[in-house]
Amino acid sequence: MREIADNLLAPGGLLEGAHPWVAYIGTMLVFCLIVFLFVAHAAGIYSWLERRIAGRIQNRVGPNRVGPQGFAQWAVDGLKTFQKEDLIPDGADSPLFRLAPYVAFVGMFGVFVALPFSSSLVIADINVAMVYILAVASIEAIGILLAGYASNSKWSFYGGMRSAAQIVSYEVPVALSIMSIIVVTGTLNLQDIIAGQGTVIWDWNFFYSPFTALAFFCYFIGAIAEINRAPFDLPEAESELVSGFATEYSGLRFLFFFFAEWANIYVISAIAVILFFGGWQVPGWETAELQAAGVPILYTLLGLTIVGAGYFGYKLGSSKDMPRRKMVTGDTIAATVVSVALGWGPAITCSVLLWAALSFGTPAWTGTVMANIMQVIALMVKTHILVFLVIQARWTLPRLRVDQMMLVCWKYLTPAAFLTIMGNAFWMVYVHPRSHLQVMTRYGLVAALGALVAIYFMKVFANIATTKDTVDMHMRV
Amino acid sequence: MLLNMGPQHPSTHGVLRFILKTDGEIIKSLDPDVGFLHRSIERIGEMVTFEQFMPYTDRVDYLSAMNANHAWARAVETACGIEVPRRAAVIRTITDELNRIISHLLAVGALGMDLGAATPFLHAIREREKVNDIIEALCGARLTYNYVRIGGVWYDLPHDFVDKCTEFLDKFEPALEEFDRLLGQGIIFRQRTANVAPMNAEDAIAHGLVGPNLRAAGVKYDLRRDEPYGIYPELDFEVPIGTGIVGTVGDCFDRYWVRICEMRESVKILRQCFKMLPEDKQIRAKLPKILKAPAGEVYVPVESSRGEMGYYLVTDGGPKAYRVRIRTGSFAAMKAIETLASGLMIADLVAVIAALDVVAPEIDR
Repeated sequence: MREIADNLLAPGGLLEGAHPWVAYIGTMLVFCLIVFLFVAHAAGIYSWLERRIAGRIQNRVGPNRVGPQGFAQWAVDGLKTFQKEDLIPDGADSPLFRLAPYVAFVGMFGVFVALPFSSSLVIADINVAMVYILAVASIEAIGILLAGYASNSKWSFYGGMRSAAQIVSYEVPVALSIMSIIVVTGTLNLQDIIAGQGTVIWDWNFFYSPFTALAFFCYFIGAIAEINRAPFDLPEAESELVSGFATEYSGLRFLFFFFAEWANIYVISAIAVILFFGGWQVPGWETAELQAAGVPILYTLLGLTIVGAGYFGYKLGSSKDMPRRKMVTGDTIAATVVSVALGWGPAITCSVLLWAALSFGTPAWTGTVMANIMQVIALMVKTHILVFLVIQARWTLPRLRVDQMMLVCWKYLTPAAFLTIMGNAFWMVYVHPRSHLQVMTRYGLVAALGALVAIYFMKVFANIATTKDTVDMHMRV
Repeated sequence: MLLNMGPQHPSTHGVLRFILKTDGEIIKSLDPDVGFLHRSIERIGEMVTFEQFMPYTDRVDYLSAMNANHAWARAVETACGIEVPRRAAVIRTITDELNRIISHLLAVGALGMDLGAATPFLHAIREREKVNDIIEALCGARLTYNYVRIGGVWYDLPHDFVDKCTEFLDKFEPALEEFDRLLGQGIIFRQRTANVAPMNAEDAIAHGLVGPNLRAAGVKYDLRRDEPYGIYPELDFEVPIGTGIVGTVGDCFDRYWVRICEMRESVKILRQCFKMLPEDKQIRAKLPKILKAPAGEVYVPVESSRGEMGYYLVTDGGPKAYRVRIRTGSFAAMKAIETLASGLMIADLVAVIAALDVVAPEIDR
């Protein structure tokens, strides 16, 4: 973002003559606001997505009343939680109790500052981004520990202690497996790590050697534990510790914890994609090629959006059960707004844009913008596959016990992560990048991953076939 | 640290209260505090007539009300010397076994949920709902059935009952296997339950454990086989016992596994019962207007979902019981928790409570 600030300061720029700090801080704040909005929406939408996926997994419908397919549920839930009384229990350490959710939130949000979204979209392109992320992400443990301590509840205290033990322990295998990627790429800068991975699938770090593949699993398991997601959700273990550290929280403060939790799903998945699966690399397209193909991409995207959104809007408008629903006015308005926003809104906007593009020609920066959009899409697609996995794991697996959680970390993940560093170091020294072994490994790992995905789908479909139970997604009560 | 678990806690299955002395996560001692659900059911039994007491028996164990009904009916029938028509006996077995299936489904589902897996619970509830629908068609109630009558049953089966049941069983068998694959075959579940709080046969008998909990400890004792009643002598079924397939004998996994096996056996029993249903439509013995039992005392147990449920009935020749006492499985299990819990972690305690299938109203009555 520094370049943008420099451009604004340059002669002829918007902020010409202003003090450089004003420009820098101003642009930073603007972009932080944009990212904050992204985080808020991502966390909210994940809460909806999680409940829908959980519904499918559990043979029920999930939230489907507010907005199309219940999509506006997260916004309504957020508003509801916002209105709740902010309770501070008697005997709680009030200042710390108030502070804790924000500390947890800062730990999550700080990471977003360094996360790249595309080749140009990153707030702070830090050259030690990976170290920064590891450091900042750990702040969340302090927040949860504070919450557990300050609540003056024994259950919360257990939750806080578990959380501290868990996050500190899992930091080790996570950092070590990230380290093994850093050994391979030779840089801590996320943009460089992504750029170092090629545009073809087998150029990605995951397929570099068996050890990077192992590092991915170490990282991902450890990262799930670090953000307290099931099967490692011990700090908030509902059946054991009631709600763990969140027992005494209500209203907005409670929301902030779960805000952080859901946004963290994105964080860990995005980091996994950045480190192992080529980040924003669009398979088969170099950044320069994408920029050159900007105009056709623009037309294709606009066309697809018009067709898709128009179809979506048509489905919503013609949906038979919409008018029959007896909803309160607020719900109806919300549903209408959302359906217009999701369906007809993009269609109309894109039509206008397409018309404008066709009649007036496209400006010079179209190529760059389009390339970035494609990269954001690529990153989002890859990330959300992992997001889905995280959510699915939560609704499939039981929870580990405290000692088992520690055992998994120290006895299995940490040595395995060490092994990946050693293995990768040896691989770099002894396996020539153009040797047959290297090439065969890359192809072999692609095939192995493909087989894993195939087995996954086969098992899923086999399970569906056993009970033949389906849920009517459009079921209205 | 002195930790108060319950009476309002997500995994105390009703209103149980434990006072825990803990050292970190490890439980040093556990003091169960019962009585939150005491409703004086035994005393009520002395104040109302035999027939009037039937709805109260539902509330003794609301998850297995058919068995509780059956136990009371049998107690009075034994005291009065009443012969039950064959069709009623078969129907009682069918309802007992259906009830056993849904009770065990809830038990293993809740075990999964207490270990943090919410999905198996809902899969179990899905199957349970189907049985509830079937039983609702039979007697109009989904939980507290009040269906068994002294000398028979309330209503005859609906005309499509057997078809509905067979349809359910055909779907239930693969669903049960799927449930087991989802929960019981998972490594985390096995780690959480195997070798957790094992109780050997000797201790289990000494604690007075009954039913699936006793069988999980390796004791092949089932009232349906050892003191058969109704039509059970004619039925062919296995009594599954815990063998410690992944851990030690009598651990939490065995308790889970015995219940899964018992559901399979129940399916077998149900299929046999459908073939045995007699054409004769008599479902209730001829009884006098006012039922009076000759003076004396009886103790009649049945094999309920949580093991032996027995009614100790003292009669004085009148239409009411002189004394009613109920022996239930959960009370013994509750006492066993006290012994099992020391040295476990809090997370294990939750697993133990769920695996022993402690149901609060059964403890307090």
